[in-house]
Amino acid sequence: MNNPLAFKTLVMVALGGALGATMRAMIGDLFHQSGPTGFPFYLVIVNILGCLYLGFVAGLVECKVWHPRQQWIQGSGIAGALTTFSAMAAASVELWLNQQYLAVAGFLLLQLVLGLAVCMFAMFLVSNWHQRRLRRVS
Amino acid sequence: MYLALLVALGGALGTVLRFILTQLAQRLYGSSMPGTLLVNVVGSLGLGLVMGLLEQGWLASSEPMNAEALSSFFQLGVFGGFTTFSMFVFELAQRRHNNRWLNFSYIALSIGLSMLAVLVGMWLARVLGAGL
Repeated sequence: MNNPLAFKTLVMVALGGALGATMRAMIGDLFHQSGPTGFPFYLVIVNILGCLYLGFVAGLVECKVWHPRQQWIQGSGIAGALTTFSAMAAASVELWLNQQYLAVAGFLLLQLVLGLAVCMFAMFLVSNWHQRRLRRVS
Repeated sequence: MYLALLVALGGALGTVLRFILTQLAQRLYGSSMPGTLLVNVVGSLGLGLVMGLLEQGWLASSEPMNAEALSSFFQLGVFGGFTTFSMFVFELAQRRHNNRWLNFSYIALSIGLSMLAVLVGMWLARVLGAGL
């Protein structure tokens, strides 16, 4: 399990991917994948949720609270599959072809800005918590 | 339930393929960025192709493989899991590469090329549909 390309690790990553993809499909169902001209809100939701989750996982791995394999299984597996780039590109193309250029810009900028913000916020929270914990111990 | 299983199966497949490619990129280039860019563009091409084929009623002739099942497996599963937004954002958030131009071109290339790839995929589906 210390080698990312070991068979056991790959199986765990696959399971994480199955879980992430299923959650994404369920959230899509919940928010009724919008029609051809609608704004695809469910993509914003899954992508932001995934960035937040990955930020926590990466933060915990970085300060060595979690083993690096959690970055592979939960980070690349669950968070990686919960979020998607291809559907985002396809939704942008659809909006573009409908000449909703402002919606394309808003859709992409919203995800980029919010995604970066929640990811960095989660990493900051974890490192802050970890440093306070270290101080308490020493 | 059947559709959810197809999503899970496709998601597992796409995720493992992405993971292997990004890990190889990490070893070859010391960064997962080229790997992530590649999977996002290739995955968008695949999604565009499947979208176009399904639109033409292709691949959906036999009964258990109706359009809904194929869309669950390929669109939500395989290509949804193969491509990733969180890793893309994380690579930017890490600020390991504190090069503003590199980050900017990474964003522009990822978004621009994958949107183009969707269009190329849909066009390929039309060419294939006309040829057969």
